[in-house]
Amino acid sequence: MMRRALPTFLLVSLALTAGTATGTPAAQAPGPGSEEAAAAEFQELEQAYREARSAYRVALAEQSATRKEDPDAELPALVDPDPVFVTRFRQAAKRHAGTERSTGSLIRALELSYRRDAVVAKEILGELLDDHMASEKLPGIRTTLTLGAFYLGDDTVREALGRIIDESPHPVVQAAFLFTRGALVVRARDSTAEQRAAAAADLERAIELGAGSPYADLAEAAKFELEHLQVGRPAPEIEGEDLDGVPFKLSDYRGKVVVLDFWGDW
Amino acid sequence: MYPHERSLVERLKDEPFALIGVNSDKDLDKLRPRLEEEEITWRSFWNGPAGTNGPISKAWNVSGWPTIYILDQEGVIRFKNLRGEAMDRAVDQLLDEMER
Repeated sequence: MMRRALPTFLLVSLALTAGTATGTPAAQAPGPGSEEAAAAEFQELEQAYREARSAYRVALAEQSATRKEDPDAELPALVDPDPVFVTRFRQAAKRHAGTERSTGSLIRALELSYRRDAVVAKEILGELLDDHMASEKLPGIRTTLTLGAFYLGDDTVREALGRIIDESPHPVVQAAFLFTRGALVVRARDSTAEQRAAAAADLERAIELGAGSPYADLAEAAKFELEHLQVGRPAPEIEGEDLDGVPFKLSDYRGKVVVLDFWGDW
Repeated sequence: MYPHERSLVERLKDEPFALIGVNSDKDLDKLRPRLEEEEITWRSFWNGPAGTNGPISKAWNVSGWPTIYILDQEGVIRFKNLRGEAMDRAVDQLLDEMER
């Protein structure tokens, strides 16, 4: 145990010496507001979050194991680190306002809050829409908006999608959100003819505005699904090989009821 | 997943019914012993070495696994993403339609 303390001390002193040797005075360190400073802080924050999260998971698992052995064990209440980090990511975003990382940090805060605290999440979403509309990082909230409709409400999500589509200065960002809005209808269990027509228009605009970006391809695929992979439509042909390399076609099974199962052994 | 599919295939082995897979495993050599272990007897297309990014799942815009489509005897899509008992009922309903 004594021996382990020594190397740590040595490492610290080595690091200090190295700093002096390369002559990096604090004055030359990137100041606040620079991308470098923002990047450094967010990296640190992300690291701290991961550590806190994993420590929390371990502690939860330990308590659950203890409880299995002794259901009456008195255990200390564990504090979920997410809310604290939501605040820290928001503060960091504010400190580095104007950097790309600032947008990224706010997106992180949104990801960590939407399931647990819709009020805070809506505030953060509002800040993103009001202060970060020009950012090209905005597509980073697409997944949260899609998954978050359940927590934030359909109206909030629709409004956010609509604002970004109308107000973003970047065609690629517009394309990303046009695709997202269209895909919501494509994947919905039920949709009206009107909703499907609107989705088709969204996806077509996404294909145009997003030309050359992944969103154009995603929109193309979603449009195909909207038009061809719906109940009542003839299934597209599949021509391929089976697992033994023997060629066959889906239409070989015409005349039979077919369950087509996209699967994998994982 | 597998046990349910196995029992469906077994129960309908004398009916005009087929379970057709589109398999998205990248490595067929690793998959083969699993086919035996799990008694996966139904036929599958292979989605190719790109796995879940393969051409068939891409053409069908599949982004979640498993994804299930149920087709009638004319090859028309009649149900999407039913599982378990709901899937069995849908298949039975389509088989009933054929008898009428």
